[in-house]
Amino acid sequence: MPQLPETRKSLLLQLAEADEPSAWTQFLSIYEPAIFHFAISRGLQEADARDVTQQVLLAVHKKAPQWNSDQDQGSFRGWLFTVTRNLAAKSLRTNRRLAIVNGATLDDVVDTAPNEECSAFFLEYRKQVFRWAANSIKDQYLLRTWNAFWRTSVDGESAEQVARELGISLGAVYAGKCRIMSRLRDVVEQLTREEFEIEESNE
Amino acid sequence: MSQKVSDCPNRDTLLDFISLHLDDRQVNQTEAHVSDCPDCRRKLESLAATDEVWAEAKDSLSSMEIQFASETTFASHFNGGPSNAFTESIHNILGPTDDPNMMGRIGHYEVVGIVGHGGMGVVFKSWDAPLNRFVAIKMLLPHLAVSGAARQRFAREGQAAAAVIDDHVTPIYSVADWQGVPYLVTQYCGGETLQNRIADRGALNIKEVLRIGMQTAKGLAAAHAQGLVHRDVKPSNILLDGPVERAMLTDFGLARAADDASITRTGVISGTPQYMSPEQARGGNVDARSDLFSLGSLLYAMCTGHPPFRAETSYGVIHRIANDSPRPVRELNPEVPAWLCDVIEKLHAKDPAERFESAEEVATLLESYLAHVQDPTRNELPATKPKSVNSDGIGWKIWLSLAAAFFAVLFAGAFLLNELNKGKLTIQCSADDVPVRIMQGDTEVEKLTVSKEGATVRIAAGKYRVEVDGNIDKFSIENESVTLSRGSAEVVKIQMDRPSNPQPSGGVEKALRHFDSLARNPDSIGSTSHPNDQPKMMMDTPRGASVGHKEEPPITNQQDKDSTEMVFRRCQNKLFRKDWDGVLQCLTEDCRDEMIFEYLFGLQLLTSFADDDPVSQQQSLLTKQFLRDLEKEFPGISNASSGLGNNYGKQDPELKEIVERFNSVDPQNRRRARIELARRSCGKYADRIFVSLLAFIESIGAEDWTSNPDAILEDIEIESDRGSAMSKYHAGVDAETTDDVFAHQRISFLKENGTWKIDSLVDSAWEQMRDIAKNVESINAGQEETWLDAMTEFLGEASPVTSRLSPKTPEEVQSEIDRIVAEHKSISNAMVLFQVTSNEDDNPSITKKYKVNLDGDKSRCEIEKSPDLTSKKKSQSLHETNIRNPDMRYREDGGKIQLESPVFVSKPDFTNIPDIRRFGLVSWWPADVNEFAFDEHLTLKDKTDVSVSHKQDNGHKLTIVKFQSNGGSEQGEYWLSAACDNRPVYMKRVGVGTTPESTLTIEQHISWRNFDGTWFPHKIAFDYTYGDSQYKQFALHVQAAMFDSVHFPKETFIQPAPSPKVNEAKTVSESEAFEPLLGTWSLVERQAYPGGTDSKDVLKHFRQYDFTFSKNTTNGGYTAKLVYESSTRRNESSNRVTLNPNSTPREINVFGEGFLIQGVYECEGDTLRIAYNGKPEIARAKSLEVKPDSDPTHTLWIFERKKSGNPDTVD
Repeated sequence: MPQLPETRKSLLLQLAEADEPSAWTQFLSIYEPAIFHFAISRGLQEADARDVTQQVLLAVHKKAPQWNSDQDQGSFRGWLFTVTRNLAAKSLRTNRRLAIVNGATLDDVVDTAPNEECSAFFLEYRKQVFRWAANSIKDQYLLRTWNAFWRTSVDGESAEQVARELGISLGAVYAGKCRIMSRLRDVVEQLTREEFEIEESNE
Repeated sequence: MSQKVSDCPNRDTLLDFISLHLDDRQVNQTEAHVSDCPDCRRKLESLAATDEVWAEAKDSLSSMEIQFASETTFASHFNGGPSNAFTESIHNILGPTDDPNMMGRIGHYEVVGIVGHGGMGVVFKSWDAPLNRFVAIKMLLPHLAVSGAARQRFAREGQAAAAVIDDHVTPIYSVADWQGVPYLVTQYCGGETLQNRIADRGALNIKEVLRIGMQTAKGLAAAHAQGLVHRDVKPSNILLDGPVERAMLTDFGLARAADDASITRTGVISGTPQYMSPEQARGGNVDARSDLFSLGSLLYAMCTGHPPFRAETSYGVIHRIANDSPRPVRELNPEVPAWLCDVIEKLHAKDPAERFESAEEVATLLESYLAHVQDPTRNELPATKPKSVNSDGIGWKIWLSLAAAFFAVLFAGAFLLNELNKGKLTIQCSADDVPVRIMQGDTEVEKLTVSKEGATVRIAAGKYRVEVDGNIDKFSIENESVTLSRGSAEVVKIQMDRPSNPQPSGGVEKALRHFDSLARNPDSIGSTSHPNDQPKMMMDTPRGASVGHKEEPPITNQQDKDSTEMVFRRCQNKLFRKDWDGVLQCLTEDCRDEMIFEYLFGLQLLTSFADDDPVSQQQSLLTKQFLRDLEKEFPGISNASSGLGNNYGKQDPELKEIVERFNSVDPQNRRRARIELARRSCGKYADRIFVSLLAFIESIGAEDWTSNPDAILEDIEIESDRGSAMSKYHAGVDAETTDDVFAHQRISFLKENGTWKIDSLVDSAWEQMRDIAKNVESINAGQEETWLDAMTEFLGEASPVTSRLSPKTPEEVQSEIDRIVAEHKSISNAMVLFQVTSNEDDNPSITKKYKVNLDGDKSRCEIEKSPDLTSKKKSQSLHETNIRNPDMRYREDGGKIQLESPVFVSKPDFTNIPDIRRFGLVSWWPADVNEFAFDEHLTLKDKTDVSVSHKQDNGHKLTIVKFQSNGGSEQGEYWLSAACDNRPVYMKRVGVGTTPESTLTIEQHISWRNFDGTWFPHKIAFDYTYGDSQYKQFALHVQAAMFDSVHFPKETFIQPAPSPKVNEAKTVSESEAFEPLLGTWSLVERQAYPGGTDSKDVLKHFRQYDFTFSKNTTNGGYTAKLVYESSTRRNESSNRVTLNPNSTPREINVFGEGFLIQGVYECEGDTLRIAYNGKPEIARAKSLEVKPDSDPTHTLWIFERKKSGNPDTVD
């Protein structure tokens, strides 16, 4: 089970201190899919989206040593978004002969309002945080509890039915799903609020 | 604290309830209360999270199946060793039992132990107390059962399989649920699996082969009769039951449920693909005939001792299944009689239609062979040799439908009627891939696709009608109604009509005359048209009468063409937006290609002729600027073009006439003249202008088509011959389309069965034309026969014209596309220009052209090399961007390159624009191609050691393609491609440019496209050897250009690898290498760094884990017997093992059922160390050592030689 970083130190600062593989792994697990999905949503072909993802991550890797605790340059995600967006646009541009036959245009990337894009990117990021959090806490629960949560909250089945099928009381289904949700929410909040903002990295 | 149950707990208590800060009693109380109190349930929910968060969680998690490789842990189940997650989840699921001898409980079954498990499911041996018998319980792995779809599928398949009752199918007693996880209860067979039998004894004798094969076929037939496809016929799914070793087929349909669960979650194919059929391997539709292929593989394995298609990776296996023929059985086992080989060969037909009709037939055949073998004197060898059945292939479906149709009859006692009552219907066809329906009355009896070889169908006697399916009107059918009588044979011939000039008739003719009269004589509006007038102006002018540029424009820059379309589009958009500055910019900055100039000229003319267009000033500015540019760049062209631009008409009497006429007609009718003028002005680039014409759909209307569509199409074809047109041109999707300009959305030019066709997905073209028509109508009000009527009639008519410009609704087109996809080959692309740069040492940048002629009837084409391309070994290589068309393949055959391609590889989804991207034109670019044969593994970085090369399979190649730069701004592009048996299977751009920010490291993520269309994200490392010295040079060059910023030890890279020949000189044979390994080895320690933490686990999970290596006396191979016992289960398996002693470190491969070890080993005295990566799709470990930065799945297993004498002692 992936460990939540115990320390208050920003994940980014951990990244900055090179050779912190666990921080990097955690970073990747959240941001890589987010970047990838964003690139896909911009109309890139899978392989190119992976390219872009790789390029962005490379940029993060290069940039990481420059981050420090007294940096004041807006949120990291803002920076990341800009890099991703530019690289996606660039990829379409350099791949224009591909893009044209594929029906995607540069304009798809360039002409979309940045704000919309930006929120799409953050949405993707948020989703990934949820997924990551769900993965990370999943093993702490009994399968039955997890199923109670998943089937009622994600699959949208009715609590009564799930309770019946799992052979537990309605209260137990609610207890399970709310416990997991509460934990999930905590983890998500912790990840987004405390670990990922440069601004809050002062210690 | 002291709350009564009936009172609602307060907020704090509920919070504590959530965070488990209550004692057990309180928890139980609260839980009970919550069960009954909707208020508290809601409160609880809102305390846990806000509605937004609940919604967000649902939204985020429901799309969780998109997983990344780094997240997938399920694949680790393939590596043979039980993992923590696995055992834990199993223990979680079992209910408590009172019986101390039992492991747990599932439903009322007491679980005795785990019999086996694969990646997807687990099999428990259980005790059914009420019925006093052992049963086997098969359960989907709990973590896979989280998906509702997988759960349902599993249960559904189980229920379907339970309906199959046959001596050779393991009976399913029940299908039920336990803790939300579905499971099957089946008969428990104590016998061994065929897999073990083959592994232990190698090839079986012929009688056994026939018996087991026959019984398996019978079992399959029983299932097929229920409409059930097994999908996973393989030796490990055949149990040899009881003393007579009756073959029993198990696991019906579960493969599909398992795939459901695994592929969506992991993107990894489950299990071993060795017995898959080609259609399965491709991810195509699978029917009963797929099982027949697998049955062929099963027979093969029984005859030879190993599966027919082998490779080191699943991927390799799949590739071989799809493309290779297995080694002939008799080469491996000469004792196998030829007729059995024939049976296997026929079962192994890549085309399902060429296999046997049914499992039943195979069973009968094998049975008669068996009778013959057992008593040759009394039973003759069956007369029907399987090969002779070849041309007689009846679709399985017919058999099925007949079986159903005759069910009632069978009951009536007329058992023989079924077969006897059939006649033979042969369909001959002059074209390939013609979809045909056989109808009886209004009922469709059979649907098939007929090739030039024709098709034969055996169907019940009766009256039938043969129709060409779909909206294809260029076939005529001779004798389309047939009456089949018992045992008779009838022939239906389908001929393709030669495309002829359109014969305007009826509405078309009327429309034509009408338009012509309008164009010729605007004054005649309102009066009767002139029926005898021929539409001279448009049609009688010779095609290709070019206006001002009869000479070929000088070709100055071949490599610049690639950006053409982009400029087209951009310019078009800007023109339509009347953004003249933008157009100007396009022209000056982007147009360096005379083709674009031409195109734009046409476009410009079109707009400038629009006299209602208030932009003439900008137009003229534009023209001037344009001409200045032209002058500078292409002196040869400018003269001709200026004739068009400024003084159109003055130089060309014909054009002059047109212009004069044009000016004299009513403005609304000038449209037509515009088109003609534009068409001519673009003469040679008619296809381009044509696209623009379609874009200007208001201009084209239908009249130009009506007047002379073939002329336009011929122009395109003529152009194609010059090598610049393309088969399928996507006019593209334009998001910025505004209603008042044009509404084209997607327009495809297709060449189908030799005829050009346009699929226009305008929403719809029809609507557009209606609008135009209305427009005209209002002008011509009062006229007897209105434009609209003519148009309606015209469009409503089935004519060659309508088939070209299909006024279809998007739904119709969509359904047609579906059809095309389903048949896969019925459309071919017609013309593609291939440009390939020859890799000649002295001049690496010469661009050569291949012209590709696609036979319109076939999905195959020929590429002619242009004569100036000198053939040099390794000097030409065609590489395509088969990312989009992975099924494209080519081969060189006597100097000609054959190219085969189904155009559509994935179903284009027109409702979703991004998906269209898969639907594009396949084009090739000038490339500086260099090939390396990668025989040597090179570790670049410890973690990035995926390889795509395989020693056993020399077909794998990695190729680096350096693309030429485009005028200096980009330094070049680098492509990484992999080819397998000369077929490029993967190609990807890995880098652009050499500027610092765009330099990419070698440890790229790349995606490997599998045959089933899934993408495997991988990290890839370069494996390479230096070939001839000339390549060495280039390798270094690539390295310098691409990998400057790589964090790998450069000296490793630069250091030339030892020549393979040197290696060969001191090779160690496999058997020599096995020598020290023979015997039994016990696991003493395991090392891994999962998640970066050191884990030296000393056999926590194993009581025993022994490998025994021995020589297989039957086939000369080697066997690794694996015996392990954990706290939960014990397993024994015998697996093929191979070594590669000549690599460093030495490589070991264990091919297990359900697992694959590709590792490295070292054997010193009594210590054997094996290291391998857990995920089979990740290449073997590069070293034995486990380091903190090793792949988390990299595990080192340390064994010690077991002293003989006490084989089962657990240390």
